[in-house]
Amino acid sequence: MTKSLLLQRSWRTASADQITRVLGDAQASVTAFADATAVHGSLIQSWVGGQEVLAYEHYPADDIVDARRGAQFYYHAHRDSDPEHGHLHLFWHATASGRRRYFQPGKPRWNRTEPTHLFAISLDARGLPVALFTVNQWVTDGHWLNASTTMACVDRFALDAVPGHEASCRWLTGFVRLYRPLINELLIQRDQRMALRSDPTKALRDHRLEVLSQKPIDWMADMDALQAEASRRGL
Amino acid sequence: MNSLSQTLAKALAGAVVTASALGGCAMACRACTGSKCGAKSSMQKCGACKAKCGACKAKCGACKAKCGACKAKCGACKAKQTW
Repeated sequence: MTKSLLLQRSWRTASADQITRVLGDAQASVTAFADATAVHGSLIQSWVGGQEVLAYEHYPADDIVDARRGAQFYYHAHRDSDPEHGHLHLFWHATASGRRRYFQPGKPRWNRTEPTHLFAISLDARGLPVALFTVNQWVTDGHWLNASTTMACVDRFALDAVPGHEASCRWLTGFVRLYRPLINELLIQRDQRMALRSDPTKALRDHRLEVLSQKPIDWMADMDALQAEASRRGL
Repeated sequence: MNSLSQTLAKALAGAVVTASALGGCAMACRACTGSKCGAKSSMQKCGACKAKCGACKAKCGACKAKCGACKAKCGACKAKQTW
């Protein structure tokens, strides 16, 4: 595996302010990853808590939800493919037009809509992110938003410290910002693939179409590339 | 500046390797979430689905009796009768 050329190109054309921000996100994410691994054994164990991992079960059982920001994620495993052990599904609570839904105190969180899937992150057995991918609508339900609207949701995806999961929330918030250019590309590829179908609406329920776009990543190589770019600019 | 990749490598060197997933709920937990990989939503309301997990068939109708959340969200109760 090597660094992402797409990320490298994106960072090369970014402003100094943008690089400084991305570097901050990267540092926060790496530090949180190291913290979670030191305390729990791995990111996966921070959600699994020493239990045996059962296929399709959600870890943690009720998902991790930041009700104020409308962000939600969970870990599960059911695809037996090297190097993936399991993956995270990321959701954002939006209306059909991609607007934010605010939870009202004392009322059910989900009255009319379901959390909308953004993308997924594959982790290896040590908790290291190894790939990003998108899935078809039937896999997760929720609204189907085009790439640009989904990216607007991705840009608002963040989790404050959810009790018991502070480190993984910090890791994920920074990680999503760090990989923004790659996520954008994945979503565009997802839409391009669906646009090839003669009946795109029917295709959203076609169980032969599950993973729509996927990109392996090498987090360590990408960190080296980002720091090299920052050094080149004297940041 | 410390190398971020070195920090990652150090963390990974001491990371616990989690064993592969074992076979889970026969219904792939679709009763609770309503879709193969959907977010948990109904469980936030009364916990009925969670309590039943793994014994869905036997307890068909329990969701409706408790708060109606499952039926409203994914039709799980109905589906269970035919699975």
